[in-house]
Amino acid sequence: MAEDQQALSAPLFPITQLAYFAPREFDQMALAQEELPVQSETLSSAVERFCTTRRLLSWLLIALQMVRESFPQSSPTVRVVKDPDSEDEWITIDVVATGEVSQVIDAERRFMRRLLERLPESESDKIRLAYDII
Amino acid sequence: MPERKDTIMLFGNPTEVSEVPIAHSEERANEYELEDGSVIRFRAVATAVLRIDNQFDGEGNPLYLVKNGQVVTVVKAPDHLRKKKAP
Repeated sequence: MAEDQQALSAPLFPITQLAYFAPREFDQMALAQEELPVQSETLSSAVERFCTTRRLLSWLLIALQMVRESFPQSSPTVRVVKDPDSEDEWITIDVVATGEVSQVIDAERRFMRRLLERLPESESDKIRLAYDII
Repeated sequence: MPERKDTIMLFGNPTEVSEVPIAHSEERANEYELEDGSVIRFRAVATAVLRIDNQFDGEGNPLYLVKNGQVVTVVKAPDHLRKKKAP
């Protein structure tokens, strides 16, 4: 269920169809929205601009959710990084991880495996993780 | 990407769904000017769309649920609300 710790919104019904629902049926669909909390992220203008122009926002939210699951004690921050040589740009999620080095490395591997399973290949180098261990 | 089958809990009951990949998205922002002088931008972002298997609305359309997150960006904030820089 960890991956489902996000909100379920109302279904995608055209507004003109709402009147056709029995009230009980529609109330139940609305209740689904309340079953899971909404993931809320505050991003800098630079990160928001980078992600919206490249259609990465949803992938970034998914990645941040995975980071919190893999590094439960951390408060991830996000920045845009630009390679001065190649002018390549990407998003880096920074975390400060606590625990044994081997545990942190395992957590990073789990995170990367899950992220690569979800992200399209073309976007996989656009979201990266950097961590410090304390 | 292929659809992915999953089971989620809805109303306390396990419910079979298919996660449908998003082929194209337009994520527009809402912008709000606050009384404290700040301007914030808000976006609702779908992170997954689930079609509930074998469930239909009154017109026979499939039922969809959207997993989503929200993104808030501070576009502008007055100086007195910003974190003070160390001297």
